[in-house]
Amino acid sequence: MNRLFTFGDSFTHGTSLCDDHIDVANLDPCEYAWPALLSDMLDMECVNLSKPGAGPKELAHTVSENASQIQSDDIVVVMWPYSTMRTCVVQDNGDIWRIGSWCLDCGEEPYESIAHQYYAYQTGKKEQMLQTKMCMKFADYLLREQTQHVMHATVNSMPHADNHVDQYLGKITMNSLKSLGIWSPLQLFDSRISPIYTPLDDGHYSREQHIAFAKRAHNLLRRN
Amino acid sequence: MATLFAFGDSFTQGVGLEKHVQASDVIPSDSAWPKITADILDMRVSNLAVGGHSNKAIAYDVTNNVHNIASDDVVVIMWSDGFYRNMILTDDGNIQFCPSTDDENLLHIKNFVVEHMSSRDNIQFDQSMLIMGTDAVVRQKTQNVLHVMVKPLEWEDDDISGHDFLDWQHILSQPWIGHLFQLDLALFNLEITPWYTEYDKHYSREQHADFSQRLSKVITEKFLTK
Repeated sequence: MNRLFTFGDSFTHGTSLCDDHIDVANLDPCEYAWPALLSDMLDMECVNLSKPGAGPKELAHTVSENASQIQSDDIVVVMWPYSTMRTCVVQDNGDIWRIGSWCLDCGEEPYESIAHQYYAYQTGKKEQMLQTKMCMKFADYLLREQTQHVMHATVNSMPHADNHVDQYLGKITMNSLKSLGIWSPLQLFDSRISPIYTPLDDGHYSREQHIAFAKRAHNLLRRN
Repeated sequence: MATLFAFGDSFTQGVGLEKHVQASDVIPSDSAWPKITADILDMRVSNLAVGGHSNKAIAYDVTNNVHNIASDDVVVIMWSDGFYRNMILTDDGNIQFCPSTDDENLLHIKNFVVEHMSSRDNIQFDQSMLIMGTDAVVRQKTQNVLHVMVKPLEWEDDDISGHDFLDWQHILSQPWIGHLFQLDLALFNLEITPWYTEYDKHYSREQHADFSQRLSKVITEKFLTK
């Protein structure tokens, strides 16, 4: 059976889509998230390798760690986070230090200091553009060594991404990355679908949004 | 007439080959390998190398200039082996530094990066991502791309501080990156003397001339005889 590989952050993992899926640490991906829905439509096995909280670099790293499993007849969908303002540090022991806005007041060192330095010096628009471009090109390159059935999508539609209130988020619009030539016209968020968010938090998209995305992705994959 | 685009650091800019060529001036030397190679191949040259640039800065140089590259142009990227050298892009100008910087304004940033972001595996991943990402960016424009190194893999320079340098083998040990490189091509050739310029420890005109001969043969075989 061919497989559907998916990479992404909490939106691909399905955080908050069901009652027992709020604290996502060590949990399997949610069955209501778009990867499971899409794989059912495609009648394919689902390999959801998303990581809640991951930024573009961690996503690219996850691709590099798993690309060798992918076969030429598998399909890959990469759902890039709307927040480019996250990074990670790969430790020599294999650990990943994740740096995100939540580290700024976590009270745990060295993560809090690292986060403050990162946001103070490494989150300019040019810096983020370069980093994100390299992550996307790198991941696409590795995946296309394995299969040509690769689709890239992003969590948000562009106007919506800029409305997020977090001071560090939404500064970089993925829209400008269309110039990379690896874009597919797909976003998880669709303003016509309601409710927008899950009832369990005000940041992750609803089951209805996931269903609508899975249908659109299915149609696009069938056409291609 | 096609253009040979060259990207790199001081070795590609040609620092040390002429007294007036300084890294800070961003003026390439006509005695550096890009101009000599282009002359051999009867091509125009665009040497966009900048002395002191880290690999991240080189990647940025490429992405900033890729729109000028046409499908029949040839691109040669001579990556730096100063893997610990780093750069942070700010929206009003670059911040450049390496562990040896003595700029007091950069010390706290440098210390942060060296202390928390310079594990070998993190550098290996970041460098590999930069090189592969840059290759993919260039290949949107032309398939005539060569990646080369300043020094051959088997040669170590005892004079260079180990703190600033990481072995290329560590970068190339990842299965998905070695094939990108023309591993038999490096600017330095042990058999060519003198090794260094009369002004500093950059490689001599003779080294550049020798490399240009070898490089022009590879470019002809790979790209120009099709």
